[in-house]
Amino acid sequence: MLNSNNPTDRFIYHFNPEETTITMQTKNLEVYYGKTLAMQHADIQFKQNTITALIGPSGSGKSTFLRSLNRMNDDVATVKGQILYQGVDINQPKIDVYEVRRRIGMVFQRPNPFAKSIYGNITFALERRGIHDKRVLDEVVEKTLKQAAVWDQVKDNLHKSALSLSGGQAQRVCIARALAVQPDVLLLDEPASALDPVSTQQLEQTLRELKQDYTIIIVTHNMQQAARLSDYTVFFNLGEAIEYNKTRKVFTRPKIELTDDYVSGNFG
Amino acid sequence: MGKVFDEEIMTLKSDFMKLGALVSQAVANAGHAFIDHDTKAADTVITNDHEINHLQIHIEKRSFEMIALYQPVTGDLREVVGILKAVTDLERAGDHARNIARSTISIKGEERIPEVETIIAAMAKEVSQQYNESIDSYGEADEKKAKQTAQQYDQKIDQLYDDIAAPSYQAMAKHPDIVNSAIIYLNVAKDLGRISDYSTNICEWTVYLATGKIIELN
Repeated sequence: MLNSNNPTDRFIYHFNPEETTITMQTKNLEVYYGKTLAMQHADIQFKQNTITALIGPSGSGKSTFLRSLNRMNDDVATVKGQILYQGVDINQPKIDVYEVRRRIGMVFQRPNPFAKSIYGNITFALERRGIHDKRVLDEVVEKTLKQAAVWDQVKDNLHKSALSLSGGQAQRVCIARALAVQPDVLLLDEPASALDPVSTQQLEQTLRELKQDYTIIIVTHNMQQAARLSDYTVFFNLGEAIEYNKTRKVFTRPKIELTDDYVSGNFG
Repeated sequence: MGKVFDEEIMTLKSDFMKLGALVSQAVANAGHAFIDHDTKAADTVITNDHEINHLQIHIEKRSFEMIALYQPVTGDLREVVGILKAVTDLERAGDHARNIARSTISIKGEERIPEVETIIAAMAKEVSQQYNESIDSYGEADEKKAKQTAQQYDQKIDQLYDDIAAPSYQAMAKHPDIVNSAIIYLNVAKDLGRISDYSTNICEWTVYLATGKIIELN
């Protein structure tokens, strides 16, 4: 038998904390929608400067898990357990949720630029925080748009509406907007699902470059995208993390048969 | 992966097993032709080698297409990659069978050493059996059988090679007239030895297919 087919089995990779910098970690996380337990058994460590893909069928809990990481589930669900960010449990009422979201940014499935100029999208959060020095703002706009690999395409139209951008450009402007507040972690919920193949390729290249400075966690339904982009992969099923391992292992020799069936497309 | 992929992999595997059977025939027939001094049978082996080469190319093309179209992973990937790698071993085993057939034609009219030919017959039989068992292990994805086969024949084949080589060298030293035949015997023994090596490779691909591990047997 190559891999385990015991339904209660799971394989969750654990780093040696003495050798690895763990940016985020979940412990005994449970998410309830009302009284319904939607997600449990997902003790995952996220290594600094890596890309981790969360995969699994619809309703498997991966987006619920992702949204819990920066407390986006606060108003819609009850989240129990620990979410450690740099060793601090951020799933505590006393923790400033806006500061959490500044450090742990989120990019959504559909590009959602604000109805403002490209420039205004990037500077929005900074201005709200009282930064109005044009020189500083200009620098942030240029730096983040360059990091998101969209600077060359928009630099001559910074004051045009961000709503006029193509899907791929708009998504990268949204990434730049998330980067403007200098997060450590970038959460992405199917960021390429509304993009064409060329824009998807550019977005993936952008994420590979951003990995040097950020820890990236991405939900994707695209197996090939998870395989070619991520360093680590978590497979979710029925609200639980079933397997967490190096991506190249998950896609060549998974430990759990359920993972094997899912990544190979054997759903029967 | 889905129905279409499953159907295509069945066809690919059936083509692979067909190639395995063609090469099996070539190996057995080449051995018999050499021992029986049957140049007509040897000619057939040489002619049939084209079919082996064509089928190998066809299987390789289909494997490349399947990787490009379906991007298989885990067990599905091993099915395609295993065939893609092992098909080269089959084709090369076929080439060595063809070489033996050519030797059958070259040795015509030369003086023989019956004792050496008896050992060549024994080696040809063993190599043919080893090849068939290796292909069976692949067809059944039977890791245990693959390891057993590789281990079972390794030393036996080496010994038979030595048993052919020693009297051939001695004969060459004593009787210059027999040099041509002795060289051909050594070549045939070497060809049989190579077929045995390719059979071991097939067993290694069986282990890969079954477990995902790339190992060296023997």
